[in-house]
Amino acid sequence: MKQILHIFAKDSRRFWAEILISLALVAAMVRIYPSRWLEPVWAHTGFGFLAFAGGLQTLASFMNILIPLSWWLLITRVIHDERLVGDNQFWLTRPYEWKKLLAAKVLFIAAFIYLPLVIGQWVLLLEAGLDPMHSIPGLVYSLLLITGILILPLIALATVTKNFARMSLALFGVVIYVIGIAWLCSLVQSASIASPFGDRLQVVLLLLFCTVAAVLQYARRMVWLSRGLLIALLVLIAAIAVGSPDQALMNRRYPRPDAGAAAPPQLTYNPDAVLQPTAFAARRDREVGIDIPIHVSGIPEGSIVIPDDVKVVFEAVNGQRWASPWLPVYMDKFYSGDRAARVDFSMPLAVYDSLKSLPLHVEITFALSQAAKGAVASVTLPKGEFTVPDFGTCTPLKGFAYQQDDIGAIYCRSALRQPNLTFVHVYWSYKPCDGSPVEADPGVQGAAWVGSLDRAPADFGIAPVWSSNVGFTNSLNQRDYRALEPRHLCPGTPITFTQYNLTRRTQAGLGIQDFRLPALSKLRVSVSGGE
Amino acid sequence: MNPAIHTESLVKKFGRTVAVAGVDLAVPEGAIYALVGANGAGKTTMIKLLMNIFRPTSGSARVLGIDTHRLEGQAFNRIGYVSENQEMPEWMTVGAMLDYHRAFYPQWDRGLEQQLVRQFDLPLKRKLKHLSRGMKMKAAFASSLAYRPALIVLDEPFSGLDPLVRDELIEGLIERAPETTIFLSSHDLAEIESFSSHVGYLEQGRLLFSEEMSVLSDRFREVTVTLDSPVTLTGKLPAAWLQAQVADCVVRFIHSQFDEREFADEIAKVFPSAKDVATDPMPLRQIFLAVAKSGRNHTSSAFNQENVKGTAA
Repeated sequence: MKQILHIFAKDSRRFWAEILISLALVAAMVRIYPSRWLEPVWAHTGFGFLAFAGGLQTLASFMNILIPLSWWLLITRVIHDERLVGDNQFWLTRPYEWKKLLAAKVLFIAAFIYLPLVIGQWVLLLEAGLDPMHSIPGLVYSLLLITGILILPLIALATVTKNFARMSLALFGVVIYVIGIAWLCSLVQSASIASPFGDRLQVVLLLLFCTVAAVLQYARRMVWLSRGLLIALLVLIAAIAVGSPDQALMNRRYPRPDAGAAAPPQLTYNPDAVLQPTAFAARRDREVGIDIPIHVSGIPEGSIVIPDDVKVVFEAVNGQRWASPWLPVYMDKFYSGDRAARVDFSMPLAVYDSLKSLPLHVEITFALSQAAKGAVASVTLPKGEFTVPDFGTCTPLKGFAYQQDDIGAIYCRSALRQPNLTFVHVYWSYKPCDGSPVEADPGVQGAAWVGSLDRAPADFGIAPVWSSNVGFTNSLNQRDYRALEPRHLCPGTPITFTQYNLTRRTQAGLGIQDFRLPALSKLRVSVSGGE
Repeated sequence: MNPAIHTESLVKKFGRTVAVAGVDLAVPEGAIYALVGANGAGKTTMIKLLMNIFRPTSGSARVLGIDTHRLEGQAFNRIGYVSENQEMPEWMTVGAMLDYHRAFYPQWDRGLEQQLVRQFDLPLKRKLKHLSRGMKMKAAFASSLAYRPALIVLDEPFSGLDPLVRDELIEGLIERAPETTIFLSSHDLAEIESFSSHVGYLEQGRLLFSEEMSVLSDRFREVTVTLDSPVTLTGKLPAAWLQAQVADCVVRFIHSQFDEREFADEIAKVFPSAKDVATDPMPLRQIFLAVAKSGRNHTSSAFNQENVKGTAA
């Protein structure tokens, strides 16, 4: 322990300036970040870029970049003070014990990166009106993500580089690699740099490979082996990003329903006079977008179904076959009752050309997340900040009318991650808020979906407060074809938060016989549903 | 008595380059062993293998009875290492550097530290980065001697130093000699000749010989043979006779295995008509030059490594 503290004390004296910079940035984050929710005046107007342009809020956003940059400086400098690459360092022939040296560096990082960060996050949660005691698992998980994604890769790179310039070059290489992977993913139809399960696998791989590389360097100083491990890591991550999601992983995450299990939603092909399949030029070159109308039923009352991914297979009578990879879909949620919906996906132009004149059998399979209604919290909208249990804290925002009490939206924040998927609804008033009793018009509901079904205790980020504008539908009233006027939310209006909890993930599909691919049109017509 | 350093068939390759080629070496305890050789002979690689900075490609090495694979941490409490290329914590003052190192060594001798600081006239408050090369070496010596190591390993410690500093360092070393083993590398024979007890010669990664200085001096002789008529050397000379030259009736060569008892017979066998034979002891510098030249012309000369090879133990 004496040796650990001795090296730690030496590093603390040596790098006081770097420590000061890092601490100052964390302190600045604590000071500046609350401006995001204390003055979110523009957030509801749709002119979010103006909020970004605001001085303090811009700086608050930059903290998410500046703080990791200060860590890069701090970690590189402290690791390189007893650098592990080279054969002329004085400490190699001194009674340094590698475990104690490593422990001293870990202690330094814990004292000057983790401790200030945890204190900063704790204070920010308090500032945001959120109870840090309830967020301890989230805080730990957040630190784990920061460790896996930022700290350990920086440590591992520092252990295999000789000096700050080489480290910077290596980081530049990593940036180029990430850009390259993103480009590669854009070329490969099935690839996603942030696939649903690839993310966690990548964090686990980062944790594992970076830890092994760094420990190996401290224990044996086998530079090329450690570098080889880090290169293997990059190759693996690229393979996951480009190669996933594949069928096996999807079947694992979205199991096909068992015989005894509740039936998945019923999906059928639903063309009629208005809703017809369309083909249009896709965003990517040499691809065609196909849009097929479907009908959804069989979703129990109080449940919703979210289509996450889709896979399409075309089979022609001449034996020609094309199967898409699993593709993310951006469709509205499926609600209970009989609903029309449209699914769109893209296919290579060459495949489209070869199949367009043939009668086809089509199989469309969806990867679905089903959620059921959970806790409901009704709150009477106050003038100021209010707390919603198991959701977070919200602040009313001024409406378009800018009258005294007029509310246009709410701005909500929660600890460490988005809240659970929540349906928020209110009833708009036609009348401006003038202090008289609220007369809500029950005919016009304002609704918004907030949050996600993901149950991870924290999202990746330096700041521990997730915040977002919650803008409601139907905020404008089109009285006639010329005039749009704002509707009003007044203090005293009831506002309801309905949480949805994931009940299962499953696959459901539909088949279409004698399907003909539609002719390619330049104009795309989109019809979307809603609750 | 166990040797302080012992290697067996030690090999180090960097890719296809063989830096150390099967070295067998034994350095007895208490010796001042000088490993000499030209630049690029493999001296630094050899020392880094001994210090576990490099790992051998094959073979083994033991230092103070510890396999060099396991030479780390507390094992360095008994070893002092100074190298001409060693990177020091330049941001520290001399005093801070000594303070910092002191905490690593339970046996650190504060009295000796102060003595060395006085002896080397070290400026305690100056940062290492502001010191001259000579001063830096003195500081490195002080920080490596103050804990009375059982073995001091020095890699070209005097390279590029002015004579005054060199003498100061040698003086400091010699004072420690009775209680320690010193192993140093150098390409400058003059600087080690005066105080080394043993010497080894490394040539292209091979240890050509390794023995006590006195033995080495005894077995090398410059021989001049005067014949009664001019000769040409057409036959094969004994392998231990190096750099044979003929000028009219005079033959000169260096005898690398000189033994007074057998010498007369050897001469009589090769030169039956010898009129006069003179033998002169050789200074170390001349011995090394002769060995080096013979080594480089290995295929054409009569030099044979086996005939000159020996061990110091």
